[in-house]
Amino acid sequence: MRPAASPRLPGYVVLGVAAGLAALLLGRPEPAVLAAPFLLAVAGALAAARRPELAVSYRLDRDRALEGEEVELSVLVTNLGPRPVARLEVELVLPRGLSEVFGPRREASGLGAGATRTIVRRVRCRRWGGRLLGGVRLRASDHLGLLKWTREDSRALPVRVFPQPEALHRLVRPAETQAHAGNQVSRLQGEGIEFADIRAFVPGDRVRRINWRASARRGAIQVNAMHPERNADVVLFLDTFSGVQGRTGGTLDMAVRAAAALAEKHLGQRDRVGLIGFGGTLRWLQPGMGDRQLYRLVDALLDTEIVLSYAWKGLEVIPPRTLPPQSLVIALSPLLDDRVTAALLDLCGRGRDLVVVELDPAPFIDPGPRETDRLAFRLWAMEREAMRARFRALGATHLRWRHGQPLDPVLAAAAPLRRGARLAAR
Amino acid sequence: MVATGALALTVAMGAYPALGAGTLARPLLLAGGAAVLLVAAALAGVWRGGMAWAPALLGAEYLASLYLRGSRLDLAAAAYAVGLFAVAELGWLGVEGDRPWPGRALAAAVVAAAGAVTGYLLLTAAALPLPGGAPLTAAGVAAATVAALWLALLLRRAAA
Repeated sequence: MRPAASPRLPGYVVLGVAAGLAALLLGRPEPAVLAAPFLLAVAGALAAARRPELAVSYRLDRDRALEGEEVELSVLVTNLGPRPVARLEVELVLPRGLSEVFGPRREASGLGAGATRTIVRRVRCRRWGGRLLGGVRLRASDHLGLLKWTREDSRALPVRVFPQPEALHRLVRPAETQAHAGNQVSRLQGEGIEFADIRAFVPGDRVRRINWRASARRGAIQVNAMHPERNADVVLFLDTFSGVQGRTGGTLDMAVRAAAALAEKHLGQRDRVGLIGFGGTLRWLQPGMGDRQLYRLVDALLDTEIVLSYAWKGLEVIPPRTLPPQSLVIALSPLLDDRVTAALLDLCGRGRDLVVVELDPAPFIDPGPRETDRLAFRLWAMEREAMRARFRALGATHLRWRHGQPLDPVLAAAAPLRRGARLAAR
Repeated sequence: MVATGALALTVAMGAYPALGAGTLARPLLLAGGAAVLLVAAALAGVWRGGMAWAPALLGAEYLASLYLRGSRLDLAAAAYAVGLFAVAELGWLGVEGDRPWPGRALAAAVVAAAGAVTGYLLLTAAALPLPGGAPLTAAGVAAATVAALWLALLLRRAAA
């Protein structure tokens, strides 16, 4: 531990020395008498000074939590030295995104030789992400507080705070399905449950598919054609080039929460889900199914952050297997960076089934007090409206999601738009 | 509460040397008032360093009152020293913003008591009709040097 003196210590020493000199110069004992308690305090503190030997360990009740949940952190401080510590202050150092629920941030009391003190704190996980929990500041002092020893212990325990997913009841239906069985009703005809059409019987059709009423009406055997249930490939495209942050959240928070919810819901429907983090650092996860893929996706989302980069990046940097053909691409972006806009327009141009969920940055931006500021803001808004029109014209489904609004109705609005979008594309 | 106590005690300590000083009370009260202002400024967070100067100012005021009154030996000096120490401890406690804890109060009380006993011993020794001279002065200088060296040694060990 690092020793440090209280400002009192030099003050008392100077006072004592000055009084001693005064006693000599004046030839009187009173100045020396006045100095006596101060010099005794200094001498006593220095004579009893021993560097404390403290060991710190941590315990955490769990290492994974959802946003808004609480974890319990126990800090165990043991005095390994032969002497008691007169006063020991323990202050918890929490990283951003975590906060203490209640109780004083600093706790002070004595610690006997060989004794262990346990400080239990409840910590609220305010924001998603991987965090390191467990740093403490220790301040030990003697009985009079004249000498202090400080130490910062930064050994920490990792906590993974998962984003609180958005409540979703319906999803965007993909235009194309894959070969595996799933919950998406395919547009093709085959073995399935959903009724598609009535057609004439051909050799090989199952007898139970015969529609007897239609056959009686038409005078020839008719069978029911069905839509098979298939799965789909869904690629979540996260824009990590830029973002806007407000007091209560930002576009990146919105993107991560939406991606977590979409991944969970699509994987629950037996779809294959992949992830592309398109930004200063390109990160991807090939589409996959099942619970393991969900954990992979959420773990990848926790490490998502905005990385500043000036390098121009296009679709060519994305590995082809990450974007399978006939996959549904759901882009979550504030559409603030030209590189992302260009990449998404490129995807549209290549005939990909694209849904752009625009994480509206407008609520986070103050138009400014002056008339020129407001004019600039209106021009910027008009440019964005033109960009949205380009997406729609190219056949992409453009959805606008504002901060504080639930995602479910936004996705629900996609169904009529996608019918229109496909017609426009054709 | 600690701050109020420190301020009240400073006022009392500043007023005490002026009692019975007659026409010289005003300059003494000026010094005491300055000490009160310094303590108040330190407690208010305006100038924390003022806390180091306030006891020195009070001590100077007390010594000045002794000199001006021309008293030979003031036996109340030990009690005044305890009061001065209490002003410093309470003031610094208020400045540092710590809550007083029993260990510190006990340690301060022990130091104050030891200071009072030492003070009375010094005053008693001063009152004794001992013959002065070079040997006694040399012994005093040697004692002061040893005390200073001992303090320096302790300081070095504490810093290690």
